[in-house]
Amino acid sequence: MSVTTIAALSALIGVLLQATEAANRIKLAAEEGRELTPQEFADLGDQLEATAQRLRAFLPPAGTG
Amino acid sequence: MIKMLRGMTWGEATAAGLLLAVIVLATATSCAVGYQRPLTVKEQTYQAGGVLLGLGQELEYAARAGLVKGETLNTLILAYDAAQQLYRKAANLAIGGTAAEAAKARSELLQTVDRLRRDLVAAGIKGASP
Repeated sequence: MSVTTIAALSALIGVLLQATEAANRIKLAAEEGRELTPQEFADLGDQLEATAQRLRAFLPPAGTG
Repeated sequence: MIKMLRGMTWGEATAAGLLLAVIVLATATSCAVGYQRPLTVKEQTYQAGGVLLGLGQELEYAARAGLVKGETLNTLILAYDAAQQLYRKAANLAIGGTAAEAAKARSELLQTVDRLRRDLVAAGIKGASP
């Protein structure tokens, strides 16, 4: 396989793993007889924000778009 | 995804297909085992956040690989940013809001994530639907 193919597959696997990670955390909380904690929600929010920050680097500087 | 597949040999495409099939099966099994009840509003909100994170990472990969550029990329980035801010709002309401507020924010988040997923498909960079 080419490097591009492997990188693309890695990205696809990443999507599935994130969904699985969230599902596993939900399952774990349910098995432990508790609700998801505010910290778990905050941690996911931080990961979402970090991804948004990296993506914003691709945006053109203000006023040049 | 289509661009990627065009560059593959039949052997590579078959191997990739089998790999994805195994992963999807494992994911479905993981989700199914232990769930004997519908997800709560709080759990659905969290799950939508997990899916959104996967979409964001795939968008980041596509941007770095140059698979999407220009106005399309800008629009998708702004859409992701708006969605992740919506997650924060929905999460806060899921934790401390009323049931009605949490349900409304959850529905808005699910619709937004689904719309982003469809936009990624339309841009030709979405390869999987967890």
